[in-house]
Amino acid sequence: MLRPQWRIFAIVLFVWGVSVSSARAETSPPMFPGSDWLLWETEQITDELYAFRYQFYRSIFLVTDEGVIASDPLNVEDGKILAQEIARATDQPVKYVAYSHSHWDHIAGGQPFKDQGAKFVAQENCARNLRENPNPDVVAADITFDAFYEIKLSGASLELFYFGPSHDNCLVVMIANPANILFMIDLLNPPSGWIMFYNPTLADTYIYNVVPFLKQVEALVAERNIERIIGAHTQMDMVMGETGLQPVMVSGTIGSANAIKERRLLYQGAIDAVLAQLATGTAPGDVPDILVERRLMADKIIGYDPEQMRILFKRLTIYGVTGE
Amino acid sequence: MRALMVSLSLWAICLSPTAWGAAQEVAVEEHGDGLYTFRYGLDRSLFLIGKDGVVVTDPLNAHAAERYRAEIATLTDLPVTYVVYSHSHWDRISGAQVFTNDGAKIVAHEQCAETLADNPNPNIIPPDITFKENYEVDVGGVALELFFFGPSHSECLVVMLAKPANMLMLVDLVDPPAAAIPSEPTVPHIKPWNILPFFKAVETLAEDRGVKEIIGANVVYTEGGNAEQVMAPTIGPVSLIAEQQVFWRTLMATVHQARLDGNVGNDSFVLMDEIDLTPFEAYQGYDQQDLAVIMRRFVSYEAMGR
Repeated sequence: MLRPQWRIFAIVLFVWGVSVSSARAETSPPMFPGSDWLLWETEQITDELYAFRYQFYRSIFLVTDEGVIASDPLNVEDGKILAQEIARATDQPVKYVAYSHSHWDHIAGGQPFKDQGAKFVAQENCARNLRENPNPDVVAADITFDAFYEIKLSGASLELFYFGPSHDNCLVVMIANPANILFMIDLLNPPSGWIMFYNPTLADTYIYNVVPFLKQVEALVAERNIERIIGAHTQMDMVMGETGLQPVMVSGTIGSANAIKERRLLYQGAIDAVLAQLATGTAPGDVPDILVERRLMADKIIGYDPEQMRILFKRLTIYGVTGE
Repeated sequence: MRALMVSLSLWAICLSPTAWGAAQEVAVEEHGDGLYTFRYGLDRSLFLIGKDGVVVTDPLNAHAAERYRAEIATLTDLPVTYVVYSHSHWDRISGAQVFTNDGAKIVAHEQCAETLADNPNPNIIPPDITFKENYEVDVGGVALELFFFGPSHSECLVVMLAKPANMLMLVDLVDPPAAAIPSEPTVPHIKPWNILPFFKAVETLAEDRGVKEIIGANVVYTEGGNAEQVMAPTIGPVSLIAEQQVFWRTLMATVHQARLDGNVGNDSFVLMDEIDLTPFEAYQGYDQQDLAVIMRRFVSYEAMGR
């Protein structure tokens, strides 16, 4: 159940978000009254690379003198603000929009860029997913690919790598060049890969391939000497307050690539523990309670919540039994 | 009464939770027209004995498959010529080797073959015969017709129609005696974008073919007199399909409305105290905590489309 302070936060945020988004000011209002956080902001990371945040979501774009390469437009309202923010950074049109995966909450709202003549790029499974379950606010992909694609404009590029199903069956990781920064979507966010799962049901997650996927991302990062990653979401961190450790929202815009290995270790630790418990002959129904009682990884996971972990272990137990 | 208890074998009955994987109770029931069901513990498969051979569905696991084969051998000398996988989940389709050793061919939807290739299990034999939409396995006067209506529970589950008995089996989706809240609250295998069209297609099939009864693949216990647990019948009315569809429709509508009304927290869990849960209370297996988790999954679906 949602803790009371988060319920209030959610209600305020929702109300404030609706009111300010309908007003559509050119500069961002605070995320909620009295907040240090703006509802949206654009950060210039390098000469070409920018990060755009709207509420808790983030995408990146590259500005060149031949045009702009954007990524996830997020949603209809965010997409309009993103278009406005790009226009503040450059007179150049958006030439390409790269989808990170097929989830609507990341890729709706691309129409302003379609109107500019942008081509939309996505992994081929994304295109199939969108045909199976279309959304009128999601622009269909023009260009699809299997394992790799590079979008280049005037000395900058966005490389898209697909390592099999993970979160969704078409999620890619992106390298922004020449910044050599990796953009990571939904699986993890800086600063830490040890953060508690936001969604312990692991919706639309292909558990059998998550660890291999993250290992391939680690290998890519090592091969390219990537030190920094950008996350598609803000994150929580535990900070010592007056009454002890308290959750505080942190940016997650850019952080250490070590977060990838941390996240892999978290997934791997949880999956391996569940499989090991099942291998002892424990009834599947008992596995989550045993692991929660053992407080598996409680000392490592930021924002550890036993009830959320119980749900996670239920999900992983089903994977152990069914393979899915 | 169509169902005739043919045999009941009691191996070391260890149905306590600590004995998962140990030998389970076995029961075979005859339903007429060459149709039988094989129960191993809490799981059920079906088989058809025709003039030319036997078709079995889901071998379950190696222990179960051995017993399955032994039970069939008490009924006929004919070989098992086909094994049909209902979908790709390991707990249903492990152990087919006892049948393939005798020459049986394995039949499954083509997506099952892909799924098994992506994530293989040494206890699972890949299918020999795959198909895209429909397929019929005829063993001489009796047949099992397989229908694929898109992803539902897993990416490749098929609905099975036993002929001429004219009974349907929807594994892991609908079981007698009643429409139910899913027992796995994280509902990882349900493909939300297609679950309602899937059920509609099955209803249409049932109506077109005049199907009156369904077979349960999962054993359900209900509370009988004196609070004792009673095993539900193997066979139930075809109306259960429509009733189960109503559950999914109601669930999705409730989540949709909760989002519109602002009754979803920052953690994306529906605020259960703020919504009306009475439409769900009559369903088999109702548990408010589980329902909250199921709804959480569908909040994600509304946002993500998957």
